[in-house]
Amino acid sequence: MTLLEVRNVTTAFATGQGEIRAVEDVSFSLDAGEFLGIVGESGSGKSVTALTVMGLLPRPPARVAAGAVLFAGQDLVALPEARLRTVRGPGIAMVFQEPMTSLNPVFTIGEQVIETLRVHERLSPRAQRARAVEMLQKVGIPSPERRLSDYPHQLSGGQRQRVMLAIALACRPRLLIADEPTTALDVTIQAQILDLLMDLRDELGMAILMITHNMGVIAETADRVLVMYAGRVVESAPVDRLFERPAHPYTRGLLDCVPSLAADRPRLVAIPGLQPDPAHRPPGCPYAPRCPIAIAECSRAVPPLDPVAPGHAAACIRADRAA
Amino acid sequence: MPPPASAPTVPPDAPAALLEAQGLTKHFPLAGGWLARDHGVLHAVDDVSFAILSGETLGLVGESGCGKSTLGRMLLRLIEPTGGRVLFEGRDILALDARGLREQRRVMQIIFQDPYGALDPRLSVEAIVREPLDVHGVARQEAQRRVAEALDLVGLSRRYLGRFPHEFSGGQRQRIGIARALALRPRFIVCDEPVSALDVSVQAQIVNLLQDLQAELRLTYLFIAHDLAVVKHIADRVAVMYLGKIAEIAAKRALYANPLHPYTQALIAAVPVLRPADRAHGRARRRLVGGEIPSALHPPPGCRFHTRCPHVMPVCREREPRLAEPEPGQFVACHLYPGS
Amino acid sequence: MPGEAAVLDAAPVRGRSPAAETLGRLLHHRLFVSGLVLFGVILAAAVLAPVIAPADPTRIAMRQKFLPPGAGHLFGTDNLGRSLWSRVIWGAQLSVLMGLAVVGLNAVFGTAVGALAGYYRRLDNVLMRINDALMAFPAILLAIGITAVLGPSTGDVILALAIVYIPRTARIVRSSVIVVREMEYVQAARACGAGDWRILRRHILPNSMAPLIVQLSFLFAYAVLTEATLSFLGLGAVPPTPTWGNIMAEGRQYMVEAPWIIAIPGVALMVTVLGLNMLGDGLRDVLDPRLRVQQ
Repeated sequence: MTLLEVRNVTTAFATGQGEIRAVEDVSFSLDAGEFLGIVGESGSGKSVTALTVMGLLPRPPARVAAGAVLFAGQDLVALPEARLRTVRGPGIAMVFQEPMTSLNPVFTIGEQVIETLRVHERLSPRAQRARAVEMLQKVGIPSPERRLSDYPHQLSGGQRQRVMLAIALACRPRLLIADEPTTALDVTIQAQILDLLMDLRDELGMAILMITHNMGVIAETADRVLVMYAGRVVESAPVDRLFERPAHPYTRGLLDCVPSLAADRPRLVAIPGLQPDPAHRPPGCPYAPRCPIAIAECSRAVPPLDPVAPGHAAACIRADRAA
Repeated sequence: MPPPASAPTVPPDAPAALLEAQGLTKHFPLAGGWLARDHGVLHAVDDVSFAILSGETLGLVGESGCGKSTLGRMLLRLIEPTGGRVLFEGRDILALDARGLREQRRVMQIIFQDPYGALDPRLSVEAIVREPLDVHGVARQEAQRRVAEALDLVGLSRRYLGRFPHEFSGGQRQRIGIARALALRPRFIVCDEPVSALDVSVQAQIVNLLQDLQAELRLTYLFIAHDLAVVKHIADRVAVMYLGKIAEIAAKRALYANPLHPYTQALIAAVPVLRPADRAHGRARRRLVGGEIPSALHPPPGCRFHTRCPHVMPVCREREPRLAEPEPGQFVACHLYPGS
Repeated sequence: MPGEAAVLDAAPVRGRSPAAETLGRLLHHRLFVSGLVLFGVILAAAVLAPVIAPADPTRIAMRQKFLPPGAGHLFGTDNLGRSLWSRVIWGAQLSVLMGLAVVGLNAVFGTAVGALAGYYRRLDNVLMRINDALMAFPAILLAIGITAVLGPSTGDVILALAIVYIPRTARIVRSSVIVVREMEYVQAARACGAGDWRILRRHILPNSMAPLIVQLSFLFAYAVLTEATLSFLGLGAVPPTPTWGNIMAEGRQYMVEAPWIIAIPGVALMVTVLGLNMLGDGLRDVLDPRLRVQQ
């Protein structure tokens, strides 16, 4: 069953130099209970995509210039802010990268978990407290009753991210958006949080949309992957397929330049050049200037995201030969 | 407390060490100073000894707060150690006076993590790269020649000499920082997480550049990182730090193929693998180590890893393990191995 | 590598320095430009005083007293028949010179104290406690006290105001020096052997100036205002030297029959302070965007 469908969304920002399209013509869908990863480098538009779905971009300067975000059948882009607020929480919840700044330092952990509950559900204070304890327990906070009265600064980075998860999960959302949830954490703590996300998904049956720049994190967690580059989706595939037979040269480049514990390479294969500046994107395929197999035709028109195999699509006119 | 490990932590048949740290220690008193009470002592680095061989890359890995960055800066005396010695070709750097230290800094340089914070935003590329030469009184024409040479080495066109840092991308800024470090033609460079802040595609460019420079200029690196895969790629030997102590130090191949310290094992298990098919396997392995990193303000007594270690024994809570050498050239500080 | 260079090649080879960028942004900032225009009028009047107001501001002409503003005397005359135009213009010169002197003295000493306290942790505690003690005095009372001891004169007012505001300036400089001191480019300079003086002069001070400049523009306004207050109270420059404060003090008695005597210097004072404050707000928006109030 499709839970979220993003249709041809373009999100633009007004800047001093005119309007910049951070996200261009992005489409994807997410089934209930599915774990979708969006991977890309900084400036690829992955975070803006997530914030567009949440309706959390400040307007102005941002605006959804085209497209629709259908969540359980209703278009979130057209929804007024007041209605959107009822979707956030029980419908879609979000956790962010920075566990240090996402929590308000002057309120206790308990107050902040209960706060979300109070906005969306009518529960007695006792029931609220019980739910808060239950949520903290679910995210693996030891002795949650005692932790309720702690302030954020008394927790480590990993524990704060767990509390953020507890807050996000308090209203039992159907979709959790996680924007680089482990980037600020150490590897051993990152592993714990990723495992926790997987367990919660299985336990609560919610769908997860995870934004990350880390191919390894994707390999460990996602069912399906979107690769973004310069504001566009360049490849979409089931996770096994993506790592075994990447069709887009950018995806292959990304996989080649990540140093790996498993493989011994004498030299990393670097992708030459830089991602194009969003104000001056080249005509045609945005990756063409850096692409090792680009031909003249690549610079003529933006290649459509066409299927290369069942469930696997790539925006590359040379994808046949590439795969 | 055990005596400082006297073992130079290098294989017996190795060539002479370029740099040697002996019992290096840094305690930061957390005080408000005058009118304020002392708030304790942060044990950033505690009695650390190791050697770096001429021409090699020693990788230094560990999680945040393990003291790896403090350690790197102590080698250059950017942070004054509380105790211990740093020998560069046998000369004690900590005994140098201001003038001697300035001369010493011609041969020891540093590259920083943050490509935005490491360059003075008000100076042009030329002024940034020339600064070390100015400080050391290199004549003007010679300085200009060396700036151009340094830019060539890092692959930046000389036409950017008049440009300012804000006009460059992260990867290019990192190249400028490397050019600055190379201007004095040093022999030893501390690379303090030089690629952690960069996108992966750019990260590979910088890692390759550092490797090329090492081969071309016969540089010796201390490469500090939290990413074990990057370290595995670039290092010859690797030291693993945990809460201010070296847990294990060994040749790269041995350390990754056969990690001895339970913390090294946990770190390696925690790195996500690029094979979705191996997921379940990886998860099972990392279940072994849970918990949080304790605060360096109150490091656990005995072995500092005992609060998270799956193999913890009574002795671990009481006595601090010493670096032992259970395998030739592989040193580990863990009571599981004889000699600790 | 070649690809990376190719991307930059499109841009011009000589870059715009951060100073040039900042200036460009300032000139596009409406508030800053409005402030600049207002303050520019006063500044021009001060600089051009001998040319545009040749009449002696102290020359008494009893037969021409209480002339309203008009063709003969643009701003009218006062109770002693002196040209108010001349008095206000020369008063502007005095205000501007005094403001500049206060800001200059204050900047030098405040920066010195702040930089030393911020850079050398050992000095920090001592210097900042002295600072705190000075800050505990209300500025205007301290200024009145200093002029009361030294006697009323323009020089004493300048000295008093410069001293009174040193602690605030020192604090602002100190806090930005502490931030810049920890930047990695300062570490890099140290790693290549640069000494304290070079690091302070070349890296730390230039990068700590933004909040100081903002502060000084507000201090300028405050100095002009405080000088007017003191001379209104008879503690500033001695009459007949014209200052906006003593013109208003004298005009106070004739507020009903000759309201222009008090109104015109009042408006001049307001334009100066408003202009400087707008200038300061503009500078703050551009130089120190973190301080801008989030909407």
